[in-house]
Amino acid sequence: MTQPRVGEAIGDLALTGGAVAARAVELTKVYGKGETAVRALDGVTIDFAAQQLTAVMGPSGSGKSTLMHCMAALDEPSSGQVLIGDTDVSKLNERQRTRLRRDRVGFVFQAYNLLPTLTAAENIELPQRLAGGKPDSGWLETVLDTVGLRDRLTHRPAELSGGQQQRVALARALAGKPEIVFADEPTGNLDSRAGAEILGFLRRSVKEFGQTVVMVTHDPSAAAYADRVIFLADGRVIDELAEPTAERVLDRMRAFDAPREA
Amino acid sequence: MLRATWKSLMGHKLRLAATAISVVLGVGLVSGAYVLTDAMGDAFDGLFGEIVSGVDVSVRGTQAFGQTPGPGAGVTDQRQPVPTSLFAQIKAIDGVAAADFTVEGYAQLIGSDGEPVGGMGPPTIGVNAPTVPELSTGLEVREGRLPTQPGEIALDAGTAQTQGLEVGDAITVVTTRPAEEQEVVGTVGFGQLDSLMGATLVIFDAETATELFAVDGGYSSVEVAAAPGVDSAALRDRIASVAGAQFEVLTGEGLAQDLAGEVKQGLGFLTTVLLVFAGVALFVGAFLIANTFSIIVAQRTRELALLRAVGASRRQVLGSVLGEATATGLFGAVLGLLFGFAVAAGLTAVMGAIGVDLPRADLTLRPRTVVVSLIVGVGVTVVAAVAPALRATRVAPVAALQAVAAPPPPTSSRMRIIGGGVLAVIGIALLAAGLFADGGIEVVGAGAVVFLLAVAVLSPLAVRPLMRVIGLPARARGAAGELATRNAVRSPSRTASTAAALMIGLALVSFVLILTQSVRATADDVIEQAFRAEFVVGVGDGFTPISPEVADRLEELAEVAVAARQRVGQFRRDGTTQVLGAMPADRIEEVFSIDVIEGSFAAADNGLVVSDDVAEKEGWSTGDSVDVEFALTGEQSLPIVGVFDGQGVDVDFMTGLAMYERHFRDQLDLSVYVRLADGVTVEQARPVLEAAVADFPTARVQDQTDLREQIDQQLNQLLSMIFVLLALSILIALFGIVNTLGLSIYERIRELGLLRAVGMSRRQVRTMVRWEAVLIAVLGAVLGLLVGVVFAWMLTRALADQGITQFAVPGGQLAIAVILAALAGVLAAIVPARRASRIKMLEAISAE
Repeated sequence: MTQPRVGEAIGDLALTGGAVAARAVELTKVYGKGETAVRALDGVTIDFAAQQLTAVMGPSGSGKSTLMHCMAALDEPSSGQVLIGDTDVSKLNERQRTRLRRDRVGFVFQAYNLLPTLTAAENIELPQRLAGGKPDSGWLETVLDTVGLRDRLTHRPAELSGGQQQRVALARALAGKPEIVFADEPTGNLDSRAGAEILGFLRRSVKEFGQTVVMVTHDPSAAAYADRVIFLADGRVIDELAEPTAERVLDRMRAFDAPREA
Repeated sequence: MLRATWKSLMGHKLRLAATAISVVLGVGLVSGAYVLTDAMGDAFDGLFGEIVSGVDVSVRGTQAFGQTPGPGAGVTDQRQPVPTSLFAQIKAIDGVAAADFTVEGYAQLIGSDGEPVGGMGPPTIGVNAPTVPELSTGLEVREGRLPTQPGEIALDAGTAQTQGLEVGDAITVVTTRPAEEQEVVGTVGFGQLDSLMGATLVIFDAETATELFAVDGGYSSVEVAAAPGVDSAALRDRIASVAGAQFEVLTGEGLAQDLAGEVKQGLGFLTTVLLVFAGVALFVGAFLIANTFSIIVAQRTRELALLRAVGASRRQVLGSVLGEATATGLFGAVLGLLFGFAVAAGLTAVMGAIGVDLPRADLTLRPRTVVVSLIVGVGVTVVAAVAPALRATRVAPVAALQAVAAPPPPTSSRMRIIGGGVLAVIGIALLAAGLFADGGIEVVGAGAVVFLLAVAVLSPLAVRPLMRVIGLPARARGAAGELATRNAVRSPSRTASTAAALMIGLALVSFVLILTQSVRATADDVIEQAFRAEFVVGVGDGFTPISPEVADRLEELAEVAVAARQRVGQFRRDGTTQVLGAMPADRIEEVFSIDVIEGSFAAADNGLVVSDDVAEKEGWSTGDSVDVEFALTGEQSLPIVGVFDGQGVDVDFMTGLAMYERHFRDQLDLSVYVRLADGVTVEQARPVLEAAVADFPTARVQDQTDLREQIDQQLNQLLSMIFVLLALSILIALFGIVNTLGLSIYERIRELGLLRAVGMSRRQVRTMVRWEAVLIAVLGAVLGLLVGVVFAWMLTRALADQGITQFAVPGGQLAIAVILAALAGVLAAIVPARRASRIKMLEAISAE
């Protein structure tokens, strides 16, 4: 069943032009059982191109967070495949998935991203420390310069503003040179100025360092920073938009909402 | 408010159980002590009633005071014998149907392995076979018959069974005479019991027993059966008027009560031990309870603030927390009450297993047991919860509206230093008063409790600096260890109070370890310095006597220059029982190097020689008179004939042998100190000495090395009891750690989710939790060791003038205690670590 689908997906590669960093194939996620079962993802097939900032949008309950959790090996899909690079995540066991998260994937959550007992610097190094090593110091310097945290490294999260905390979280996500960074509404808890800063850093990490970033958001102006926007509704990919602007994103969203309301 | 309390309780059943466990253990020991002693008391009342059932009146010498268990307690009561003439007079009294006599004394059985049977506590008694059947209905012949001629004996059925002896077998018996082979012609029981509290009983024919045990031709007691229709109380009065005030005349009922009373007094010791253990359990548990309630209050900050915001008064908040404490305490106390039955049943089984046959008794629950258990259980829990409850009332209503609900501020460092400092000063003052100013054991205990509280109050301040050191091995083990160390110092007061439970246990244990090591070192020192004797011959347990013939035989040997018999007895002075050591006056200085400060030992046959410590305290000097009381001879005024340097001597009062013979009933030696003739080596002498005393198998020939080993053995026995305490406190502390970790994990669930998300493996999560538990445990152990060192140092200083001259710290044993504590931490972490590693990552990250 799945083999031809993979072939199909590879065929799509030509359309996006670049390499694929991660890919979902016929991804399904069902919560619960029987009558109360909810299909959060309903056969999603999608590629995330390398060295691009992809935004995933959709109304609440559209499955965008679930998609990201499954992609990032935080959650197990009910069926279908997730590929990070060449690795079929759905075939990994618990321990291998943990290692994948630690070594090959970066994360930024909406809130509560940091360990309160660790300083900013320690938080940034945490995944590499868990692996028993240290981040590449040259790369770490670059990341720190980019997010501008030099003078806050010895502070604890409680001593940092929300925007600063999110910059630390972003630095942590980037410190391990991951193949792909997932950001789950990274600006959801921030005011617009701090939010714009974070989006700017995400954008720079893609453009200047060739990172791959997938970001879930419901804010059209945040989506405007992306190279490409994917729209999800009821667990399915319903549309996508290249080179988005806030207005075009908003227009599309209105278009989806309209028939529903009717 | 009541509903809120109830819901909070039911919402956390595990927490309730873990909190209540210490109450269950503590109350269980309390109720177990009562249930057991009540049941035993009833049973012994019944048993002795049965045993003396045929006796209407009993006559025996009066005793000025009862013996205190321990050195010099004697084999039998110290009573004036009943002269044969009085026995004849009693027989002739109107209303006396029959009269019989009892003689009893020391009779030690020697097992087929050559080792003494029984002893080491329970007495080894020899007694005559009754001659009047109707006066011996309590003594039931189980098998065979009673002895009727020399060479025959009967044994208690319990001893016969443990020794595998059947009627017709032979066994060696040692009395004041050399060992003799005797034929077992029967076994006896006492009502339902096969033996009396672990004592061994040898019954001789009446004639042999009289030869062996009748002191000055008198009997230990006389039993009388009343003629039909004669009231036993009336007969008692009639006999008493003939016997005179020197003799105690009791009805059978009175005798049974008296005998049962003595046994119950013995059981009182068991009650005390159990209550002390219960006290430790509850004291340790109080910290666990206080800690749990602190965490509960911190977690419920938002809820409490909301209650306050919608109009609950501070009083209601206080009531809510204390209500939960009351319910928890009640729950624990009720379970503890039931657990008490298990404790009582278990102890009865253990005693049975070690040969102490207790009468079968129905375990009964007296109202007193219920009331005390409930008050203790609820009281301890509520008192422990008062501080957290008061903190709960300080939650500001506005906290309900804040994004991150701030728990009420912890006690400030300043307050801690002041409060802890005051407590420490009070504790040390009490300890000093108790130890150096003779304030008594209660004051010492109170001082220890207050001092431990002081350390508990101050210890949060020490958490960060100590963890910097203790945490080193954890941090060296990578990120998980590092995070564990951070978590451990996150809430110093929580970590410290969790560790407090172990601290108390380890303080007690290290205190005792250091003390015993110091005693050991001192004893070695004394043996080396004060002993001029090369050998000591005796049983070696400190109270079981040997026949005086041992010394006689040793004295005759050509290899022996001096064989000095030593006896010990008890007397009373100023209302307290004292130990008196006795030796032939002219031999004392030949076998001991004791410095005589005043007077001399030469006159010791006519007076007392006292230690300089006592002399100084009482202001005595040679020539003064001291009023003392002997159990046998009553009040006496004795002159002080000398003062010796008490350094390294374990008695404060010494006298000559002649004085001892006048005032004590049993004329048995505790040990014989042997000094060899010039030119005879220890190696040469040993076989000669052993051959000379071969007829007395209980007498062991010990040189100085043997003595040291024996002291070690005795101390190790004491230590084994302490390890029960250690186990108990570690067990409770373990639950405390489980509780704290469980609650911490609950609090930090989002962090755990985040850690798992960024790549912490389950194994690393478990490692992290385990390290935190180990760090808490080791912190408690280290604090406990420090406190134990302080206690032990103070006590050894206080005992310096009583001969404890050394302060020795057994490093190896203490290290083992710390390692055990760390292992307890590992054990405590198993369940919380598992739970932490199995959290649902995504739910955890998005948890409120």
